[in-house]
Amino acid sequence: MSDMKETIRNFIQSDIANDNESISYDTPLMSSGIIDSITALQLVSFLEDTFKIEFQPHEVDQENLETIDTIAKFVASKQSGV
Amino acid sequence: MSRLEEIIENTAKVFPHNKAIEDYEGNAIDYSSLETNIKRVSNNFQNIGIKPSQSVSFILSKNVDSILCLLAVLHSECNYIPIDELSPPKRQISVIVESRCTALLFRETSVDSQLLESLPTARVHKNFLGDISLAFFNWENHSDDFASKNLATILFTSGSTGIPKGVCLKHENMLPFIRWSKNITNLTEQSRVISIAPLHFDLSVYDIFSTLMSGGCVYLLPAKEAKNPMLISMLLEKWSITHIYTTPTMLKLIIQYGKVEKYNQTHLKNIIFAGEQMPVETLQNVINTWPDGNYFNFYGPTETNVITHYQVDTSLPIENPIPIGIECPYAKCKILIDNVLYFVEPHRSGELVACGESMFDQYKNASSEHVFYLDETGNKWYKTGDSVEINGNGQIIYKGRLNRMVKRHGYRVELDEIAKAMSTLDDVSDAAVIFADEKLVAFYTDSNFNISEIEIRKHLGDLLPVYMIPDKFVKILELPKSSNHKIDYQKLNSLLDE
Repeated sequence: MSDMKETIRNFIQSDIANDNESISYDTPLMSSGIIDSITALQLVSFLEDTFKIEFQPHEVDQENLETIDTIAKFVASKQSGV
Repeated sequence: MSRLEEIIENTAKVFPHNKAIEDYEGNAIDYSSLETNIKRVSNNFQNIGIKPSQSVSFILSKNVDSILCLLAVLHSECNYIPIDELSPPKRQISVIVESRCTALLFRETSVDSQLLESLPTARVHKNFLGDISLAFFNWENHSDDFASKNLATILFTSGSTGIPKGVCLKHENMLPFIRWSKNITNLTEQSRVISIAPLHFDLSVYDIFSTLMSGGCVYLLPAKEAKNPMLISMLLEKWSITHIYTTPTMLKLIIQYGKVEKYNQTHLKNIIFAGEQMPVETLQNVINTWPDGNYFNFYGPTETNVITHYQVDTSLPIENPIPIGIECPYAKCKILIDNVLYFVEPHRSGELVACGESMFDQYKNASSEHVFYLDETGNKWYKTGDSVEINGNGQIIYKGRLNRMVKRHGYRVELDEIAKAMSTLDDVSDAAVIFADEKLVAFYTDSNFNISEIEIRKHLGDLLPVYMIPDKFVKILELPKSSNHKIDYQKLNSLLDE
């Protein structure tokens, strides 16, 4: 789980956030504007490819993508088929 | 027909049992019930004190009841003021105050609890219609010179002074576009139109009114869902959508992230885009995805609605750049060069100006004098602020903005409005915003070196809609200024390349 969080953090840090923002596992991402509706889709694509899961259209939302913690929890639940 | 509400009366006579509106929650209504319900809600408005010529603002997610309220407001001879439900409460309050509206329609679950307390709220009618409530305001010393039964809506857009400007549109301004767009985009009683644009974005005029004029059905997406291209792609199949009117950015995202190969989108035959320049590459991808479609590029500022159009001939290579086309039948376009008007003829280039039935007269809360050019016969021409060029075929080509306003995700953004919002932070002593490589870049000086980017973002998030939040923040010691102490934007642009 912590590997997964670190993979997600690295992606957000390098591909989405500005260099001078440091992102921790509980940094608000969508409500703070670090991730907008467009970068959310980049993130979803990355998560789908990296963790071999598939988002349903309605699952691309703030509830699942708000922090690295919530993202990891969502990915884990998808992987376990819950 | 001279008023918008007559559209429904007419269609209800011809197609009473056609479905008129369906929403994301699955509610639906046919034309006959729509007409009956509009009258009922309009009576309720009158019973609780709404009078003709008044303004009623909306902070409502789009669903059947919201549109019913909107149409009932028009039926009551009032005008509607749509407010972005996703914009911060401070900006919503600013629009309400600037508009001096009589009342506000809202859902308690989706407005900030402080909103009504920050306004001169006189009384609230809870659950006026379903979960929609209505608040009345009591403005001191308010005499409304604008009050008119002819006014249909006031659309607020970004203003360079830092305060949104309200564009007043009358029924007679909107009807020519509605009639024309219905015909040219092949809307019929069989059409199914997806409504992505929120009500405060003028693209929604087509979705709602042009569709209802045709006897087809408009499918409503709430604001949050309307930002999710993956969901929209799925709904194109689920609702068998035939018409879509949205921004090039949204079309690009649907193709890129919508998993279009998973869905049957073969009903989609009319694709209309507006709000920003369509890149050739994006259009090529869109045409490859939906090869049987008719493609239309619409152009026009909120002040005039759509004034030019271009239909793409998909059998030919795409013209680069894609023209905004020729004037609509109700509009007249000319080119302003060094304060002289010229006809739209090949190889001219200058500022596009327009007049005609669709053009507004005035802003609710700002002077409109400087936005018009008066010709020698006294005709008022709206100066679009857009630089254009006419190609060899007489088609108008969009070149860019003349002033400091840019288009982002189809929305107008005054760069100075963002800079003003940043300057309201104590630690920010000076700020300037530029638009470079499709990104908003904010430069600021922070004399005490103690504010973080996250704090600035949070502050701006309280003041501005998401599409106005800069993509990049650059802290500098001092903003470059020209000799007359104006910010040197060229210099700022060059700083980015370093």
